[in-house]
Amino acid sequence: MTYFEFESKTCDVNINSSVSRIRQVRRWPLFSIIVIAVLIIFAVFAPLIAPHDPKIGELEDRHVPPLFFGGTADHILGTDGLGRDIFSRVVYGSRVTVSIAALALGVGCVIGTLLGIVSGYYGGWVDEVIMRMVDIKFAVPLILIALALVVSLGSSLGLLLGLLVFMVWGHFSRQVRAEVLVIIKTDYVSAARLSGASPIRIMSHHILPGVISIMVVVGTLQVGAIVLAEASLSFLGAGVPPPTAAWGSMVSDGRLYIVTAWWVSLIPGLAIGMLVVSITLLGDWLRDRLDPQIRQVQ
Amino acid sequence: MQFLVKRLIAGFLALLIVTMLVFGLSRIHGDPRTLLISEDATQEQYDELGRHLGLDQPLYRQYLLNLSHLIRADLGNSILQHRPVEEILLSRIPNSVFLATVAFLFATLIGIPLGVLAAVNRGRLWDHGIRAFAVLGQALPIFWVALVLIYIFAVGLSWVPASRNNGWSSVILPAITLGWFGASGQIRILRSSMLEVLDSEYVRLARAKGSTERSVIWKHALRNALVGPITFAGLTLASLITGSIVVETVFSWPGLGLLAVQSVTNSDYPILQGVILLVAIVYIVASLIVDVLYTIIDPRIRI
Amino acid sequence: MNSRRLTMTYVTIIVGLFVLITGCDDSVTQTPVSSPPRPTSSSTSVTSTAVPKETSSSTVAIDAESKIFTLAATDVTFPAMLPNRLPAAPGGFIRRWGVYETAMVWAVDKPELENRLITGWEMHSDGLGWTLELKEGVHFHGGWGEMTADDFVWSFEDEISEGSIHSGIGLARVTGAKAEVIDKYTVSITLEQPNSFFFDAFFGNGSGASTKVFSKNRVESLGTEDALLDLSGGTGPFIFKKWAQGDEVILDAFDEYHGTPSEVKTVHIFEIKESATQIAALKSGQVDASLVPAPLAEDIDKKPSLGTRSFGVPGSQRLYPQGQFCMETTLSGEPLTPYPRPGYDSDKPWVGECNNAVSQENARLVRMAMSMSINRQSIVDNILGGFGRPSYLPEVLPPLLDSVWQDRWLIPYDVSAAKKLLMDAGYPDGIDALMRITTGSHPLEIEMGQAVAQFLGALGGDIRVEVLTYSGNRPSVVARERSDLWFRSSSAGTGEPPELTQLRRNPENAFNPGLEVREPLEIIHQMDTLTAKGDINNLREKLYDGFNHNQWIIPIVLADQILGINTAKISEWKMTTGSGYLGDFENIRFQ
Repeated sequence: MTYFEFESKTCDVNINSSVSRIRQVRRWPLFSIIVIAVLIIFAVFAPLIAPHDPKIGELEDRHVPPLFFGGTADHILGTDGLGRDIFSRVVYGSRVTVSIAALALGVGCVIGTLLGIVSGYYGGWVDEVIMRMVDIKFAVPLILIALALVVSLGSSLGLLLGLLVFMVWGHFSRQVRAEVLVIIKTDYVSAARLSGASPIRIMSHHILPGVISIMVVVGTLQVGAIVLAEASLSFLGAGVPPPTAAWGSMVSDGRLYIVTAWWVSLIPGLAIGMLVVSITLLGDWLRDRLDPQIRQVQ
Repeated sequence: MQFLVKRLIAGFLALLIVTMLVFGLSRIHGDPRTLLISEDATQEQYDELGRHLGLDQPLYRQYLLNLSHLIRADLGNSILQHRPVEEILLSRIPNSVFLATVAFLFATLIGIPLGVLAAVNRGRLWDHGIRAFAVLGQALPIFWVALVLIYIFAVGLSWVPASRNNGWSSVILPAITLGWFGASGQIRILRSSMLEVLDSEYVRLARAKGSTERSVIWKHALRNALVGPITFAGLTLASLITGSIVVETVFSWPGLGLLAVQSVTNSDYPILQGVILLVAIVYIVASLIVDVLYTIIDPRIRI
Repeated sequence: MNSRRLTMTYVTIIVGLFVLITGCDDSVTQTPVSSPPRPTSSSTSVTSTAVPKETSSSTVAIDAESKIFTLAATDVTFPAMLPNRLPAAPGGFIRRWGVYETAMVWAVDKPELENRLITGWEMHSDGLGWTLELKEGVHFHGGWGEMTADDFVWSFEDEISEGSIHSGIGLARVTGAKAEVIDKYTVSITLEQPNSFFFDAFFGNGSGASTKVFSKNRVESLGTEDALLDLSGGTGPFIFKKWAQGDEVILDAFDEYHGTPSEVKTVHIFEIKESATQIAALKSGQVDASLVPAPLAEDIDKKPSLGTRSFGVPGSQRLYPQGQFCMETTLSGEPLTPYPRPGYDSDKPWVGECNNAVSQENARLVRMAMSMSINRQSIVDNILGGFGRPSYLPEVLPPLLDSVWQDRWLIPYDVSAAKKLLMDAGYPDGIDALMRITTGSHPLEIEMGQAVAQFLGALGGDIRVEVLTYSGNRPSVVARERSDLWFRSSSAGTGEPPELTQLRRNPENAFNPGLEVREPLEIIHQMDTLTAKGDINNLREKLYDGFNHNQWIIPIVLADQILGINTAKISEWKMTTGSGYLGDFENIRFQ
């Protein structure tokens, strides 16, 4: 048994405290909502918002500082090493970030949840096998594998996505399975079983709705991990290939100029930071909202 | 006992699959020699390497050849250094352990008290400040944080060396960078656990009994709240391993993480293999220890 | 949790960090002191006796009193310590670190060879060889005895032996070179055919082919396996004390050196891979010297205790349009296998069909168009900060470049003319391509490569970029399987004629930049057989005409190497001409 199974067990023990724990249901997390809304607006309306082409710049405009630091209104947040407008790249980069996160999360969530449900429902050796796979996934150091793969396959968007999916599915499996173990014991599900419903029906109609909330929580918490992983992978050379604007690679590209042209790394870094902070706060808020019985999830 | 045996077997299985994975990685693009040979090699050397790897044999036999070496703890020789990989790994392990330990201590020894402080001062400035610290620690790209710290404290203030392992003064910055993520997690978990426990009947009872506030916090509440963080300490290991690759590269800290990156740059595949396997072993053993620790800490848990 | 308060705290922290970082710029406090002048002196670029033991990193204090000099390098890859295991690159820094020496060395202030391990030489009357008089009283590190003709001949023969990966084998085989011991201090080298490159290449220290003298006794006593790891057996002013692969190298001054002893007593060479950290180490004083990426030179200069200067031979940055595989046989008529090469793709705009003259001409137009669409000067001005110049001949470097240059080889930056060429070639909408950028050789390579891709994109097509961060060497081996564009950079040049290294090496050797073209190889083959410098230069002109007309390789820029140095501690560091690697530590003088 692992930490997360332990978690769900102790839920029962702490029923008393959880009652008193329904503290003030928080107000809406304003900061998070604003940031995420801005992000989505950027992503959807990028061509309308961004003043310049994010992929092409004028070499003559290399490293122009932002507006109040000696720059011009033409490039309010300055330019990068190839003269590309940073604001435009941040705007377009939101698309990349959103799509990569959504894709990786989507696929990882589906795979992970499926395996988690199957594992929790059937138990026995199926459970063992799947959980061992999850163990292996955690044992294998993602970044090292990423390096090894980049060496042989070269860096590409597909590789990056694959790596990110690999990174998240295990979290889903573990958490979902823990939930499933609890749900299975309920009368609701037992009754369904007794009435002869097929396993698939039970899993989709009775179990799945119960794990949705934990899926959402895990999902929001993994977004931060995904965005940061993209940054680290870019640093190591396994990230989004140029000239596509992606926040992580932007921070990585500008690191040699961290003192002389600090805006190249700082601004996308701030974007990443704000996004992750918002998502984390949102995740915390959701967790409290959706199910007060869910304990601190990692 | 049965639990232990089961977990051990599971661990071995996991390790086996990791070896398959690593083998597969080297063969993924067809000819592994493209990964292993240098620019100036002649055609003859190309062929010789092929013979050495047994490339004329079917894939599964190549894997078994590979595996037979691994079982004998023979990780092969570094292509570049002509020395056994084990020797090279051993020379780098102390550096990684040093860094990881200090980072871990930072994460735990800073994280736990800060978490308590935040819980106790809930809603006030301390709480916000500490929570901001925690949230930031999980929201900023590690390599960027590392470089910023270097430029502020090594270049700007000259308090510590900019890179490499020169003893205690040089481990501070890398340990903080590496441990910040772990500290953040600890703070959040502990704060959360503490808040719950502080509300609980158990604590209310202790208060009613007349214990001082301090003993309520540190003795009664904390002990109960610690379960979460202790487990998280085990999970921190994963973040240390991943983080160390980036941190060691930025700080030029001669540990296993940097070794892995260098082995990739130098196309010294046997070393990369060795590092991956070593890391996998460490992680599997660590999770085993954590699981065992559990059963000791809380006998309520029946496996 | 009050999100407003959180925002405030967050903002405060960010602002605080920001203030700290920008405040870090210590140029604000001091008026800039004039840095040492920037001579365009040529010079080059970066670990003792027995005890090959590799210990873990030790703590070392940097102290001007004890004459310790510290250098940051991006790579301290351990080379195998035998002549036949030294390809060009690691051999480069080996010959510059003053551990192993060659017969002659390039002088400090003039492009001439001067004696080092020899006292004199004479060419044979038939022009097919030389007799070298070795210096007496030269002792090997590690107590392996005195250097004699046996050692010289052994080193030479080992270098070109069967299975060697030394860069000299190609030329040695072409010329049928042989070495012979005449007496204890006399060596005779004979060739089967004359070759005017041979002497400089093998007996100077500016070439990958240079013969470094190792102790024969050492290898015979230790055996080959142990000798690979043994750090002794050289003759130079420095001994390897320690070599921790990927970490650091320590050199100690050799007490019994046969020449002028060095003022520097200990050299530490640290490997710091991350460029930003390397600069931080220089700025914080952790190292005394380091290569500096051009855009940061100004920032380094602002600090009063640091100075920058250009040095050595610039590195050549070039674009290979791969896939030009129309050679069916080697020059001697042996069929190449596999043929057609796996990478051959006649659909690629810059490749064309092999036996179709029209197609080949179109491919040439495409390559020329690509070349004309690149604003080389802009790259020099904006990315290199002026430290460099446009390059119009692939891999031809100063000083050779300046002595052979003809203005007709200049390629204008003219996008509309380029587009017209493309239209003539049948590509009115531009060309699509994949460009690979390999890294590990120059801190600015990704920026330069992307700039090139950006310029090429102006032709109308879609240029995808792939950065191969860790595959600097590997594409060469499998390059005959590729037919894309490959941007390749070098931080340091060698100044030796490119025919010797790059252009000669395919198709007989495993290195292959992705093109095998008959015409230049034939000219080089002819050049090999000539002795008169005049004739060689004529052929050379013809060779470069060919490169210019056909753009088989598209040259981009030459990037100067810039050295950042602690001027408060180091007063002088004269480097010898010829190569690109930091070394010649024996010429360092402290303040």
